[in-house]
Amino acid sequence: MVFDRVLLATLMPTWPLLDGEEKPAVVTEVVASVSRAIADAPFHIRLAVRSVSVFLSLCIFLISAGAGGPLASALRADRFYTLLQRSPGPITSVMRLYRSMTLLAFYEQTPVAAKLLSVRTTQNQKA
Amino acid sequence: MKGSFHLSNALQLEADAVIIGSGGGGASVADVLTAAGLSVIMLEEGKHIPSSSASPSAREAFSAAWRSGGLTAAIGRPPITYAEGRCVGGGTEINSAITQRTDSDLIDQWRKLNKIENFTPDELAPYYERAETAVNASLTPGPLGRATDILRQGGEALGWKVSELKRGQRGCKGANRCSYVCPNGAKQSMAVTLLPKAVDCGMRLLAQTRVDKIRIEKRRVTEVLAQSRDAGGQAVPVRVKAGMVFVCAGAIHTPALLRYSGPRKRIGDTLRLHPTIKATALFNEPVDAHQSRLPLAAITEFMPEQRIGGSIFTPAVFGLSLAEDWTNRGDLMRDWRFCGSYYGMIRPRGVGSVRPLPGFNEPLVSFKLAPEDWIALSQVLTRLSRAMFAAGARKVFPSISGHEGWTSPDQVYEFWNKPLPKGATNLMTVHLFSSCPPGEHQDSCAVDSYGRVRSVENLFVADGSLIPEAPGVNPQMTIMALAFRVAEAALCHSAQERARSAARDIN
Repeated sequence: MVFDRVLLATLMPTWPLLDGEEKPAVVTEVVASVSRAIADAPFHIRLAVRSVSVFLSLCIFLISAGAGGPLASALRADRFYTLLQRSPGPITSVMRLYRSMTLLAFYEQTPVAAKLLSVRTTQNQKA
Repeated sequence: MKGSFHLSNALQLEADAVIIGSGGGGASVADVLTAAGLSVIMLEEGKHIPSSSASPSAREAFSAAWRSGGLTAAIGRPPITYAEGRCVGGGTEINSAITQRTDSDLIDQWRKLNKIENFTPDELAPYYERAETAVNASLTPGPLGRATDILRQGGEALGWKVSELKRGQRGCKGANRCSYVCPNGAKQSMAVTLLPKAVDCGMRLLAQTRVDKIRIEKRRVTEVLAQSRDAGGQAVPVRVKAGMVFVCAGAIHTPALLRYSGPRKRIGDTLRLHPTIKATALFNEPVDAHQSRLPLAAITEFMPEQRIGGSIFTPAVFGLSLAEDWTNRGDLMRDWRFCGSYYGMIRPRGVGSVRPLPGFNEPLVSFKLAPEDWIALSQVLTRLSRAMFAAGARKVFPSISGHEGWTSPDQVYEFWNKPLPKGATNLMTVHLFSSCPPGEHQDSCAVDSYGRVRSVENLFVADGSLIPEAPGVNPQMTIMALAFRVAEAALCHSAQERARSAARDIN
């Protein structure tokens, strides 16, 4: 759970922008949802996810430690994930799994869904 | 559902027949057996999810109705993610209920290849009719929405055949939640059609009951061993003795259970599926695919080898699909209303396998694409992308990680003459079959022409495992048709006849 939280906090999309009090609640919900999903996964997937997530979250922790702020931390994490995309199969697969579950849970959160639906006018005008 | 119940003590049950699995196969077998007056027990691993409690949230629905919450994949290069239902009604609760028959030429081909008795298109027709009637196969009323129009426009502009798809529906309200258990009961899944009918005829349905083993002695099943849960969630052993046992747990779990229980030869060696590649198309005008039914037309010009169709679309599911290349495509989320999600699927030549892992609930599934499958995937992706541009797409993003997307129709030929990049291509499927092919060709067929497992007189397979090869269409109607046929044959052949056949089987 601790490892999930470290990792998922950096995988959370930056758009739509959430209000100050909304964000912690959304992060908590997303972490809980992803943890439940992993618990439901077949054993061999769980095993791979758990092993890789410990390594990844430690990397993220170390990378973010000297970043100097949340934005800088996020940028460093993004660069790290881009680098990981070229890494061996299991690490990429676990990253994608985390990303998938995070995105699914994130976009289903009530405040996020409400913001997504409200962008209609702006987007239509732009188009 | 009336007739389903939970347990409080260890149970020893007896019936004329036991059915393992409650999807299209199991429910069809139940329909035949209960109509003939047999006492039937059905064991289903998943829960019953009534329409009234179906969640609008994808993650809750996946967790409740999909096996392993949807986190299942066949090992291979690339791995192919697959989805299976695990709830009362099985896959029929989470599919789009599209009702298509297998092409007659393919049926003829399978009959000859596997020497399947009484397996002509004409002989299967009554079973297909029964399946179509059971689910009220019909065109969906009302406007189908822009997501469907895009497929139609794109296909027709290129001069290709486009077909509107019939579905098992009654008064579809367009909730766009086919994959999450229909909240209106409009989708004619097994939980609202054949299962209540069988329960009304006296069938006992035990939900949340997982079968561990089928005990076989002297060429005969003597007992089915399962674990259920009592009201407090404690495991309760269940033993069922029955004259006939029908395994209808799907193309993955049927062979896994059989192999774990004893029979192994030719079982789980020939898994087939429909490898499917997706593409996201970005348009200048809003598609608003979340507001309409999932695309109910398909480009059928290249069937049965290739088919192009559309996927269910909600903002969250769209976000999920972008995870494969979030760094490059995450910004598409801002334009989600202008996007559509479409797919191309092929009938592969590659084969997979299913192997149980002792001590684990989930078997090991692998699938290897053949070289010609890569060519077919390249072709179908090119065709899908052509159709999207013909329908007015501004940009098309193939499901290939790291690909920048195409901005004009002439770019889509990038892979026409070369295979897709194996390491970066993302494939998925919701159609699995052929892991226990039927026929009299004993070297290659796991079960006889009527689904009886070789060398066992009273054990039958009746689900997608029986479809001899990939059908190139949504398989539900074929699964139901073959299951009706297996159940009728089991009733027609006496126990003595079956015992003689089992003794003659080469093992």
